[in-house]
Amino acid sequence: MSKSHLFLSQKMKSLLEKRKSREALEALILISVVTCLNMVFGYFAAAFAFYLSFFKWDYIGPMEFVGLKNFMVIFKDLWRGISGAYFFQAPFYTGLKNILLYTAIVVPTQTILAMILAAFANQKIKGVQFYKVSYFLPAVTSPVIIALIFIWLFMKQGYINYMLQFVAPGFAPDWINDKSYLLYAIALVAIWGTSGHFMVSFLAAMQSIPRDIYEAAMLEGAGPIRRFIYITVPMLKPMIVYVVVLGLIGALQMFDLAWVMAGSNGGPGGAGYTMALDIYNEAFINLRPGVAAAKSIFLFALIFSVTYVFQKKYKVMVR
Amino acid sequence: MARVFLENVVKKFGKVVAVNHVTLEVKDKEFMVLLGPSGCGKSTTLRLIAGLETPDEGKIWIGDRLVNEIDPTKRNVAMVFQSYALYPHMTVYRNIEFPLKMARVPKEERRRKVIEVAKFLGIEDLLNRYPKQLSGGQQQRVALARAIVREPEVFLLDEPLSNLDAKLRVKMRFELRRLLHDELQITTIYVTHDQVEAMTMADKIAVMNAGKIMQVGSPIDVFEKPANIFVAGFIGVPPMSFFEGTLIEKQKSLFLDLGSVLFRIPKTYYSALHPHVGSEIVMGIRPQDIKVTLEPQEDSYEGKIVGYEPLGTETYIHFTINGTKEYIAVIPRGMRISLKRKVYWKSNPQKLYFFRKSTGEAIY
Repeated sequence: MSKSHLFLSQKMKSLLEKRKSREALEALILISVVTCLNMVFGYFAAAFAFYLSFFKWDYIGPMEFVGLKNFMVIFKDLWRGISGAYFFQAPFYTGLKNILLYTAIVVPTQTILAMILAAFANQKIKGVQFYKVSYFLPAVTSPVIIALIFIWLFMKQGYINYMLQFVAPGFAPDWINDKSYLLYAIALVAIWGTSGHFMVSFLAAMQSIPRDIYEAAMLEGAGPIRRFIYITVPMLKPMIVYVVVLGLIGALQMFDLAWVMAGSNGGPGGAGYTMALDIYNEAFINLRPGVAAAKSIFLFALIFSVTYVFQKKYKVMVR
Repeated sequence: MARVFLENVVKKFGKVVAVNHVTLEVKDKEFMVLLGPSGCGKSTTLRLIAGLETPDEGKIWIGDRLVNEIDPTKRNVAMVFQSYALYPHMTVYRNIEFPLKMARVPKEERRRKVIEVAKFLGIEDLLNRYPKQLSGGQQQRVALARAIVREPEVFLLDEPLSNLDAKLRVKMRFELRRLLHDELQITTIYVTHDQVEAMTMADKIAVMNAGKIMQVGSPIDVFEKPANIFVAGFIGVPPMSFFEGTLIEKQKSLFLDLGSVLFRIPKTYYSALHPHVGSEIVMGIRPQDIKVTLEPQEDSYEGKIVGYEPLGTETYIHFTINGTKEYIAVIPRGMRISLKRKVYWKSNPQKLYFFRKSTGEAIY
């Protein structure tokens, strides 16, 4: 290689390096903004909550170290609840019981419904775009607005009971004011509100399944339902895991719908009371931020364990 | 087993006519290859037979059944896709078992058949593996096993060898033909753009272009007696060289006026070509039938080498006679050639093809 060639290639190399380091700097600046926000509102808040859970505090005076006393409050509450105490004597237990039932209803239903909606939206039929938008609309609407609308719909003389008289004559519960139905009403609203959102995730995953796999199944005698069962569902497994995990996280810390539909006291008999409502009440009504923090950690441990176990068991990448 | 018959079939995608009035008969147990360049409609034709596309016009028969309105799930045809389309979430065993399961075959019988087919194709050791754990050749065998396990009436293959490397392709070409034609004797329709595959595997070849069937015949027929310029140019490696010119007659002899050269046409062709005197025609010569020498010989013409491709056993040379159009000839290895060198060429007088320039149809 001649001297001039060598010089040119070195110059190009240094230019490339300069450009690379400039790109790296720009990337760092952009990332640092998000990282800073995350540090303050995410990691610091989480660490502070953990720290706070060992202290008694009233937001104004000095913080007093109380060891595991705040956690004892939780376990006593749980124990009272297990022993059959009323809602107001064991609010955390009630919140836990309700949220587990709510999660058991909402997560499987919204996942299956989202998958079915995606299967419909994935068909080449006229006006499919309208349906896609209709399904997705609740996802971009405020949960508070949705809850308010549904309070109207769920009223004793509301539209849902009006429709029910055609399907199940004589069945017209007072959804919001009857403790036997309140949690189911909240669950129904949640399912309606989230299925469309998860439908989009499933739709994207469905559209990435190669067409020739469906065609092969078709030629091998599989009709639409069997194609859905044997091809679509198994091939959506990674997305199902993702949706269920997100669903579990969202359901276990549900707050907004319960707050609007049941109120901060959880409605009749605490039927709509959730763990997140209880944490809020501890922090801002009872003014026991230490206990609220301890309960938050309990909730975090619950969400972490459930999602970890689920992912560990089912997260098998098939593609 | 069944005969497949397409009668005047048309398939349009918007304004594009993918299959244009195709009539084709594939006899029972016949190995038919649909051959043509990309976008010629051969895969669409296959998909129409499978039922994956619906014809806009025409009728498709499989055996005695008119299948136009019959769902692909009920046509009893098996297809091997270019990508193999194996189910990635199922083991090889489950993949092969799938069509039997869909046909509600009892579990024990399914097991027996899967093992039988796996042994037949030499993949019994792979039954517990997933498709991603297999090589291209193994995947292809699994796709074949899945297709033959339920003993379909018709076997459709859409470029099944195109994802394999050259060596494996040659091996599988031979094996496929032996398996489907010689051993199983299933009516097979095989789509490819590779004419070597077509020539070596087919009982009959249907050459397609622009949605139409150009010629149907045995491999030897389409090679020896091409119906038109397209078939003549498409079949054969390297492709046939075409010499365009005006046919003229001088002293009871026919000549092709190539501009700078007057090519003397052998007497054999006189009666066939005589009605075309004065018209523009195209003469085709296969490169293997052009003899190239470094010194002039009797009835040879001058040319200049513009490129060459040594293949080891032989060399393809590209030459011109008037500086514009290129022609190809095959020369034996060891011949001393170089770029821009003057050479002399002559044709095998028995192996000339003539076509109408206006329509491309064969005259002789």
